[in-house]
Amino acid sequence: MKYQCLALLLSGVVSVAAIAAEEFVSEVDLFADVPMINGATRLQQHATAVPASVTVITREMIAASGATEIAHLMRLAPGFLSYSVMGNQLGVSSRALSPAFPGHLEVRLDGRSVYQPTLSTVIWSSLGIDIKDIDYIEVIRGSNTPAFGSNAFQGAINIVTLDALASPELSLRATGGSIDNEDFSARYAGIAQDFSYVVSALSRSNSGFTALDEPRGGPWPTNTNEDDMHTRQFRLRGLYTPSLDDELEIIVGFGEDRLQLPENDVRGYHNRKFDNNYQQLRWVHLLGNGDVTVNFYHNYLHIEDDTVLGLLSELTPLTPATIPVIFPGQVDEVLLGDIRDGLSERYHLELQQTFDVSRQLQLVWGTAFRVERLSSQFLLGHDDVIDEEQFQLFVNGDWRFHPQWNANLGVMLEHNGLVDSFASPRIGINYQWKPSQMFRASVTAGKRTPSLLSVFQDSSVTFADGTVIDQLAGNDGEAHEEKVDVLELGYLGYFLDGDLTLDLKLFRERLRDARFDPSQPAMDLDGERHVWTNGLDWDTQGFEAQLRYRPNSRWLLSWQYAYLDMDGTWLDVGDPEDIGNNVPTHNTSVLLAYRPAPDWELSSVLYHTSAMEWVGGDDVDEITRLDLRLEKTLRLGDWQGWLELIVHNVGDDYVDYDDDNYFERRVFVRLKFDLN
Amino acid sequence: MVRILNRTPMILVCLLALWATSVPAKTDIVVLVSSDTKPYQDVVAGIRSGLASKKQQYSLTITTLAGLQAGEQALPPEHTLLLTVGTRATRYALDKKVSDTIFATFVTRSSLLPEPAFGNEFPKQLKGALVLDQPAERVVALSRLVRPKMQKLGFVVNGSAPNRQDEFSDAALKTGLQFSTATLFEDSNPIADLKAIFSSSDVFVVVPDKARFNSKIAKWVLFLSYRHRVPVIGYSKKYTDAGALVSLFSNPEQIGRDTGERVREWLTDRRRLFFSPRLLSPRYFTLTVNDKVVDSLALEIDSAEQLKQRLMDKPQFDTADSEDDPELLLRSD
Repeated sequence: MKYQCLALLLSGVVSVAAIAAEEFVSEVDLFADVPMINGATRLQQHATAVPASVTVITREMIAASGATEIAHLMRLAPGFLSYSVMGNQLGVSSRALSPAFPGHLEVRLDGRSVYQPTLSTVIWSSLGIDIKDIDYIEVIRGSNTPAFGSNAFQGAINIVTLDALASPELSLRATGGSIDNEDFSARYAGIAQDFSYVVSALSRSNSGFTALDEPRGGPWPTNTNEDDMHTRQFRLRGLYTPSLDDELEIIVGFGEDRLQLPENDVRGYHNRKFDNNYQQLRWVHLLGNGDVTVNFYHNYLHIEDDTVLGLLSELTPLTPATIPVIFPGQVDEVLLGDIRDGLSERYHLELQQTFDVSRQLQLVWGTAFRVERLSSQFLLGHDDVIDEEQFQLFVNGDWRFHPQWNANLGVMLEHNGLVDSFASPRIGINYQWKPSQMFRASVTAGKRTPSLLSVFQDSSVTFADGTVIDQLAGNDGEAHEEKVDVLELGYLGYFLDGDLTLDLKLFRERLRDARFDPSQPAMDLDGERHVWTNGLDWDTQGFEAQLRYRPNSRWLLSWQYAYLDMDGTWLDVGDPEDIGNNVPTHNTSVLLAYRPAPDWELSSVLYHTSAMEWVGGDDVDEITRLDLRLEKTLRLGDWQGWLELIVHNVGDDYVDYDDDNYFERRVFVRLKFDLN
Repeated sequence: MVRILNRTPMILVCLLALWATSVPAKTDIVVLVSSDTKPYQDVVAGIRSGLASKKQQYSLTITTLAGLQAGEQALPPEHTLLLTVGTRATRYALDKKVSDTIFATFVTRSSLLPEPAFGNEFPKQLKGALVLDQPAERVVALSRLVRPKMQKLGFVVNGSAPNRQDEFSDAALKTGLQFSTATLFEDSNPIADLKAIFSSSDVFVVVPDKARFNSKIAKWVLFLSYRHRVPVIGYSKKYTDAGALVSLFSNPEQIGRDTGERVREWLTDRRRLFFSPRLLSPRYFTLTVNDKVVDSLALEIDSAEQLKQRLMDKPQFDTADSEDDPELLLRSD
């Protein structure tokens, strides 16, 4: 073809338009940029062209952080909070209230949403991967509903694991140390003729917060292991490449988590067991000027609690004698509480096409069909399965209408039986002031379908025959979509030949009709119950900054900062309460890594969060925490190993989320061996 | 006295001629760039620095292809040389025959290769070109430097439009190396084919091809490099950042400076109608080394600067055409 082009050229009859799609290699091919970001718009874009602030947490940063929990890595993104509701129940939130079950973030693992409808949140302990399996994490800091729909209401997290081909043949890891931590994982990566695969298995356990281990008394046998965790997970990720243009990926996994959850002074704790499995099939076909992706997955989660609350007479001022008086026909009995038996499933089928309309215009469009199923006698008040069908249609475009300007236009249309239809549009303009410096402005009008639980919850504590003793939570029966309007002004600059990156953002966010569950008066035992309603509004404004400096392979500095000012009112049992203190005003993290010799690395991370009152938790002081890590590389023939000494919280104890959650100094030793 | 007066006009003419020869003559060069974006701007900046000379003044008129096509700009009809920067500008200039004296730069060899069926002839207007492609001999020499005991070089070729396959295999054979090639077609299984090459190679060289082909194979190449512990030689800093051991390339400023110097040399000594050879390889180049990969592969190699110096100490690979150019014509004057 290249010869044909030149023949035409020599004949002098070829037009420029005719050679636009030339077949020869040109300078454009040699200087083609390496796409960096695809989580912001679903398009492969350089960071300077996206309409949102994006933090990429690299594999190098993950290792240097010394983190033992995946959720804690999110602290390396400005404005993101990662907290321990209990020893092993972790939450992640951004620019929002931080309840026990935060649900305003979309979290994807290799393209599969891991949001669980039963608890309307992400169960971080059930992700099924080891922290060392992660290749990188893209964090979209701000509403990304135009690209990923409802769940990306206030941000999106895209976790990408290591491909089989990029993995050592065999990898063995073990971590031990404080809080009785015992983590083991093994990973084998094989390459057959045209199929590559990774099989991995992990087992983790720890005893949670030490302070919770103290006996609390009461008639029931208390235990010194009130927030223990034990999880076992298995995963297979395979890749079949039948041609240069086709990739077929299959991911399957299953596992179980056993958590102990502190409960009350009578019972002390109860056990919760998660059984999960998932299957995913993803086919990518490259086209001449784009690609087509078909992504199907199924998530299954079964939750089983053995929540024995205690005898009614022990839990309340009622005596065995007065119970039949207040509840005719009933006697004092052991009450069961919490979820007991919950099941959620998600089936998701998605088709997406990206293509270059011209050199200036890049488009992605797609559609998705999703079915969510939820059942729980306790949470819903009945045994019926709720099936909810959802449709999505989305389009995002990147239009470079001037060498220095590009516009991102996108919209997500969603339809479901809960709130009918709505649209979440976004427009962003990027100005390339200098080749290495960019300014950005974007406006997003995001909408979110309320979680199934918040629409249908109807929970009560009952006698064995179903007679209601106390209503816990219900709903107002009038659910509609939550709304967020966001204005962002951003700057991204590269200095010192790209060694230093500075990312700044100013934003205003106006959130309306957030679904929440304030207490309301009720004619029951305690006189109140929680009722889900679209009644919470707040306005936030703030500033975020990230500076990353990597002058050479020996040094790495990454500094993250967020300032947040929230204004809103929370109605609880009719009393308005300012929620401005429910977010931290200042949130900072600084990661510094230094490699003094090829086989040694020293790293530290400093975290600081200003004082705040956690939703569902307590009013806690500011947190300052310093983690240290020392790593030695070991080389034994074909084996390469890494021995790490990790210290979490070198300084004084601090309280995380709840007054009982004393985070003490923790010391871990992690050993990893790879066979190549 | 009278004789002196009589000779005054002659003396004045001589003085004037002397003065005229002492003032550098101005040479008009028109630069036609494919785009006004950063890489092309850097090339133009490099051209200016390469042309700088005390003996000769050059007048540069910068024109963009977009401006020309939109009618907002026009090529000055009188010029000594038209310098086209980038493939699109070069193709436009040759297609429209806008000048009789064209020098192309910031282009690839692939975009300029003449069709054998037409006698291997370059267009007459094209006096010469500086291509971006690194000479295969330089790349092979680099592979020797990073792995001195290597015996086999591996590389991949786009089966749909093979690019520089013979050049690299010849360069390998000349230095006593064996080579193995994976030729990938649309229906090839990239992992299976590349795995076979990586299994039997000591160093893998990525020969730049079409961007789409490059991006299709980059992931597999870098993954398999890690898996088989075979270092990869890439062609851009981004390839190094992504996981290649070392990359060899000429950046836009280097290409521009090289272009300016070569054009200045050619214009100063116009005995030849064409540049010799017609397709010139870049004299200036950059090396980037990924220290993480060096550590990961447990290699002991020189720093980027030391490697560059050692390459420069070797014979210069100044030609992109290994054979004599039949188009070389001596100027009649």
